Amino acid sequence: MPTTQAMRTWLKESFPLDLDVLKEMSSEPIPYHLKRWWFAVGGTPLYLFMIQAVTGIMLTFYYVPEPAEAYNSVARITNEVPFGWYLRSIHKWSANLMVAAVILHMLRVFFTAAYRKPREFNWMIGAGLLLTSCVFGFTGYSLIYEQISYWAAVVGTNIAEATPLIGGWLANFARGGPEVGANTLTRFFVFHIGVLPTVMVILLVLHVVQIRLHGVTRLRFDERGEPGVGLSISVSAPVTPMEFHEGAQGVSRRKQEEHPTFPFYPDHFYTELIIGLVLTFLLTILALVAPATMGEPANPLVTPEHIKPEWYFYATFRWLKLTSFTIGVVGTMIFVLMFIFWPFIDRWLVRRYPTREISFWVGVAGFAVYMIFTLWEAFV
Amino acid sequence: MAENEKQTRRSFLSRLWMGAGLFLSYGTAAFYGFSFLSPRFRKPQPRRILVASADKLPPGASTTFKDLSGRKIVLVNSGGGFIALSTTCTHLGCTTYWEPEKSHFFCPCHNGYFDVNGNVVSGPPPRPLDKFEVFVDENDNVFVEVKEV
Repeated sequence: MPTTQAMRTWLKESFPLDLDVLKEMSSEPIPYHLKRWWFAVGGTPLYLFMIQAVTGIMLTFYYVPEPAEAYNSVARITNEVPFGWYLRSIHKWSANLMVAAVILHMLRVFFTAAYRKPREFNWMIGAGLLLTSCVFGFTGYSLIYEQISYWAAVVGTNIAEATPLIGGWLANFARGGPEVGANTLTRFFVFHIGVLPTVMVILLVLHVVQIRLHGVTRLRFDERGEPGVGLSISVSAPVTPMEFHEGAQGVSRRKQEEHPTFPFYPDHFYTELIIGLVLTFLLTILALVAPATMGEPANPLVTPEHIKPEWYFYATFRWLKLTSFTIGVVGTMIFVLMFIFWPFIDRWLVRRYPTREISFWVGVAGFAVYMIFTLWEAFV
Repeated sequence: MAENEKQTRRSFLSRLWMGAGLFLSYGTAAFYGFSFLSPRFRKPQPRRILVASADKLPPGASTTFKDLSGRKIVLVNSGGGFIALSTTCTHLGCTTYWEPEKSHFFCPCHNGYFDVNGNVVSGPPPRPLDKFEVFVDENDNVFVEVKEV
């Protein structure tokens, strides 16, 4: 007993945590609309990222980042290592679901205009997280060193080469030379397991800190304080944050009291836990039904007749087929820049046309075009 | 007051020097870091390689060979002379296929088409296929000038 007491005292002295402060920190008030699960998709990418970190570290034990061995090592993971196929499939599917989850989360943020003042910076961090997820997917896909992934790396780095001013340097930096080869594989591996995870963690921390500093956006329909009641997002009247209508200072104390909240822990924490369990189940089903497979090994001399990137690049790939080189590449860059800086474009639009929700219709049009191009590339 | 001013000037100068020192030292480190990560290339020199004997390539015939970096080049006798074309698409670097029944090069990545002389027929490629200089010596040996790796 004295030993237990001594251990406790030692622990308390070593980690002088104030439990009351910890409790207060984890009891952040959450608006009632987050009881609806589709408003709680923001935590999903974080959960999927953690799965990818764990499975990725395990895969690294067997992967060899060298052109002559990369494909064979992935084949060994898939066919010989115990449960290798399962880990690889979970890694692949969680990457795909992560991009999908980030897109869904950003759609929700966009169509509820939750990026408006004072959350512009957090939208930009979110856009950074989506781009980082895509680069994660691109580099990870290339590491397999099969035909499709090799040529995706060739096309991807050549697109980077077309960037105005710094394109040549950027492409050579990414490839480690003028051609995709051994240096490229090493660099992509370093990006995939070292640089990008660091960037991702920094952005995630900044994202969560910003959410904690600003609080979760209170939405205009959030008036009943009851979950699952009376929610309808009409096309003509998009949901907009109350803070935006109340002005830059945010919601007044009286308004806050009118709109009840619930604590992050344990209520919202349990919601996230349930979403996590459902995701784990979904990932296992996907790994069993559609496990990660292997194509032909990379052949730098022959481009396969049917080449496609990962699904989230389908729209860009179709766009590049439809337009000239300059319009294709510069158009993509303009789109990405507009996406990142949308809160400021939106502010200008709101100032100029205060009675019209132009951003909403731009969002509808942009997403429709993205979906049409994606489906077009998928089925043609 | 004078004492304060003196202190302020001193603290300002010390901050300035410290700031400049930090900027220069970290700037130098960043410069070396970028230099380390940016690959340096030697300008590749041209080199003529023997591809075929002219009498083995009658008008209309063609042959393929690899340049010194392993990329495929097509040598065609067009009747009016020899043409050596790179098979690398000028759009985003995929390898083009010669489709003999349609007499064109086809790039499967973004549907680019080139004619027998390498000119763009349709699709997104911004310029014709790269051409290489061809030389025929007095013994009818055909050489193509490619770049060293």
